[in-house]
Amino acid sequence: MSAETVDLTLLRQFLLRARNADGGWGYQAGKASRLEPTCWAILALGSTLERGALKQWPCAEGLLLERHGAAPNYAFHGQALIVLRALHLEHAAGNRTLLAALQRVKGTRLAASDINRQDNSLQAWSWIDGTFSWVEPTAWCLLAQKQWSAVPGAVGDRTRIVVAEQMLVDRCCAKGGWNYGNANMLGQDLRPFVPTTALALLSLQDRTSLPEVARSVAFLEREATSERSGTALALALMALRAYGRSTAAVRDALIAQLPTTLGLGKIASAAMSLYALSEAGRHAAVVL
Amino acid sequence: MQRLSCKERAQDGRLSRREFVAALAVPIVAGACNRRPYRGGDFSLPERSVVELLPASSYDADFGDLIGRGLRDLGVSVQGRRVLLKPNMVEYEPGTAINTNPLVVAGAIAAFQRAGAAEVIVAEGPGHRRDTEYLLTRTGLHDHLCDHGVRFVDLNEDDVEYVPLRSNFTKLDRLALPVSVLRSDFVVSMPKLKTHHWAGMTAAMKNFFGTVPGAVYGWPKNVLHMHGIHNSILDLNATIQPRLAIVDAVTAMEGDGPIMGRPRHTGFIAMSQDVVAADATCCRVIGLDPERLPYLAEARHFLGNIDPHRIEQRGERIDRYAAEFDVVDAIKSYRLTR
Repeated sequence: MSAETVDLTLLRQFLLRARNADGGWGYQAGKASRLEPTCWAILALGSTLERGALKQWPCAEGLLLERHGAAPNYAFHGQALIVLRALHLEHAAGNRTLLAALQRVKGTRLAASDINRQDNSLQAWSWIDGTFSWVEPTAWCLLAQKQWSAVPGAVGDRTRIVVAEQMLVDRCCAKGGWNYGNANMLGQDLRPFVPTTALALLSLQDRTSLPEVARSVAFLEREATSERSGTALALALMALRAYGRSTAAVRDALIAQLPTTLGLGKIASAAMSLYALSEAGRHAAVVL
Repeated sequence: MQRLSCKERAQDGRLSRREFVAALAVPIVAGACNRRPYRGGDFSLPERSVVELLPASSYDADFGDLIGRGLRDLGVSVQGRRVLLKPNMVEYEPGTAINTNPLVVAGAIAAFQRAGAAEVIVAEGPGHRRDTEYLLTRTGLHDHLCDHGVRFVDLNEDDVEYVPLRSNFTKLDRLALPVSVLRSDFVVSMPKLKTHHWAGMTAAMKNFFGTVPGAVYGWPKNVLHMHGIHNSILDLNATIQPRLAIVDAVTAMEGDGPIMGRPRHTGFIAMSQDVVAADATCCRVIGLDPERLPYLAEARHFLGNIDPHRIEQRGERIDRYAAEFDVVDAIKSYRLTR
């Protein structure tokens, strides 16, 4: 099946069937609603859907909770802000409140260390409170921060953007691309991966002059189809498009992957795939 | 001078990762001097533990047959039980020995199905890479799961319940754990045998880091590191209470494990209903002293046996596989004096 004629009905039906009575989605059908799959499903299914679940998602001190009764996960909070902006939704607590909370939280500071070559003074975003900064939460939160900086009236903190960019540049692997964490450990260079690279590139798409970005785009062009999963391929597709690169091969690979994604029942991955394959809007949610 | 905890110093920016790791054993030592953080009556050490070493010179072996033999020899009964197999699946890189080999997992599935298990599921929550769809397909495990009609549960994303810890070395008091683990009748640890640059070795006990849900605690589950790797291993095993270890030591990993090390052929599968004894035996095989690994040295008091006089070795002798694995400097002090 060619990328141009792919019928996305199955994906939409899968997501609609998996929706919980509370309007949210779990990571698998029948599981409790969680923030990440709910964000992606709402984004992928588009404007015809009632989206109260996200607008009313529970939060504490301006931070969206990972699920009812749980603590916040900053990466997912960043994703939610991206979706709220893309769909022009207003959270019950106020989007400005959510944005201010995003700017308030940061990863734990580490002292200098000799076990890896990196700048431990850079405090970007961690997954959860009290832990270190990592590539994925930093990239999601950085992307959200940049997008909201362009919204009239939204509060922005330029310092957080600068530090997060420095952190990502610092963690870039020697030959381009990003691991999920460190670029090296105990004297060994660590490997870059496709989804983390695609995500970091999305958050740095306004910094194309950086050599780390150029090397990483080259890595992604080379390796985009080497990691077969809905999530990896969807992120790669969106990142390559954002950088104006050819997406034909990765689209075909993503379409070929759909039966596996659906077979495993992975809702966030399916929703991300649907969004990446949908032409309408040209991935506006993740494009700067 | 005020004494700050490891976590407080880390948050204050005064603790390097190396200091962090060096500090990991301290609470366990303190625990040994004072009252231990569990109720002794909640645990009963077996008088003797059986560890079976089954020869498997390569992954061409019939693991269904081999593990089935191990189950019978150990007297394991799973008739009508819901069995959860927890392999170690971290990253994929061709030619490495990072993950439990899918052929061993497939063999275990077949053996437990033949033994009358009501249900067998395979579950893992990788500590580094979130993308289990990629890991399952790339490692080939997905095909085996389809062949056997077995479902996979991503423990990073499963529904969770907060449960009180049955020991509290971490001082976390309670932990969110996946319902698939909590509702299984028979949890089986199926690790790859590897050196570990912080913990010394990763096998049946350390494998349970993969049950801690990443969606709740983030990746790479820093919370566990901040509360002490050894402490976390103890609390997880005390709380989950695994029923069996099946260690993939056909090809193990030495050097800078658990990811960047080198494959080393060892040629056996280790099985035991005492995960502590299984780990202690694996430790001795690779040239590490279980009494020097903080989590094993503490586990001997309430979770299982490490004393060789209390471990009955069946199948092949340890001597047949004994080797001195290369290890990073940080854990050379754990080496066995032969």
